[in-house]
Amino acid sequence: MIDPVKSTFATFRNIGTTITEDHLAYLRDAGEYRNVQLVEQPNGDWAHTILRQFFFSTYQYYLYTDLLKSGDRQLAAIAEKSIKETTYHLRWSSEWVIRLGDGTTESHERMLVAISNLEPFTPELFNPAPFEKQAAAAGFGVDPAALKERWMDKVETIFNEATLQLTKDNFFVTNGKEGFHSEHLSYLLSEMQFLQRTHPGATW
Amino acid sequence: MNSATAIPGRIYDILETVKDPELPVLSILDLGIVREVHLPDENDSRKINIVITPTYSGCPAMDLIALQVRVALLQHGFKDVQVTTSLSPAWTTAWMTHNGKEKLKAYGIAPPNAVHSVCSPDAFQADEAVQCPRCDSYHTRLISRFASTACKSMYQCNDCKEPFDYFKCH
Ligand SMILES: [Zn+2]
Repeated sequence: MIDPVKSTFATFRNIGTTITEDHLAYLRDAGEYRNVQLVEQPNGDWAHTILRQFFFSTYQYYLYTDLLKSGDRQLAAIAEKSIKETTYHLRWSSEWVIRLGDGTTESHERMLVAISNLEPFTPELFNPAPFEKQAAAAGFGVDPAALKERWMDKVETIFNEATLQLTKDNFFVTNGKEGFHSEHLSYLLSEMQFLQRTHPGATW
Repeated sequence: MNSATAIPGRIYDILETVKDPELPVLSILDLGIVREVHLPDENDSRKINIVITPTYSGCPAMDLIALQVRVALLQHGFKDVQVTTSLSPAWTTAWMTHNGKEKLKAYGIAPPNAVHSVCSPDAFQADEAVQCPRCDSYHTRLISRFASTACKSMYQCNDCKEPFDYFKCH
């Protein structure tokens, strides 16, 4: 993990600069990102890309459902807004998983490869990080462990229709929520942050 | 809540001049994104607070719309203009005015149907037929759930063959 004292973001924080959305997006290094590793996996074969979307949209759907009851009004409002869009993403990605899984031999084979590549990243969704436990205990967050059963039910329902199965095997430990990321995140960030890094403070 | 009816006439006329930068035929009133208009100080008619709500989260047009609202009001003599964004209740295409839907159709974009098709995540549910904005045929088919922007999907008319954007229900 990167030394947080050396990061640009930490420097801004230390000198008392007001942290804005732009700081969060453009000036954090990979080690300061708290996303799960599933979402930084690159696009690839369409079966792979759409399965990543389906796994994550299913998770988001139940996350926002529970966040509607958040004790923080702003978080609850964000959930209320986001769940409408997530619902659409879930529906759209479900249809593709079924179409490909229950499609041709070729598309079915590709879905099997996608499952073996991506399923190992899914337990991280439900392993609570310390900050998630704190947020849940304080009444404004959601303990992700509480989402697992509903996620599993939904995935199995769609996989049934798609003639696919989860392997429930070959898991490795991923810990993006604590700042440990795959190399893919660095590539994403170097492209996204290029302008701010090259011309700090540029506005237009 | 239909905000448009509650807005005083002269403010309504000013807000009507602010267009959606991505759909310049629609004003922000047509879209139904102006949720509240407050004149907080009875003794100072130059103070005004406006509450707007985004159509879609992350919509790149929102910042520009907020800026344009501010500029339009300042140009018309308001001195203290506050524009705030509210996420709840979440915007729905049901807030788009009848007038707005007519303008969309004339622009070549099929307006959102009355029945909301995104409320359930179930796969392959039956959708309400979408009318071709060019020839009015309901004999159309979905080509892609996402089109030129995330808020639209792409259809094609089976009769006149025109491909067109559909502003999806939300
Ligand atoms: Zn037609």
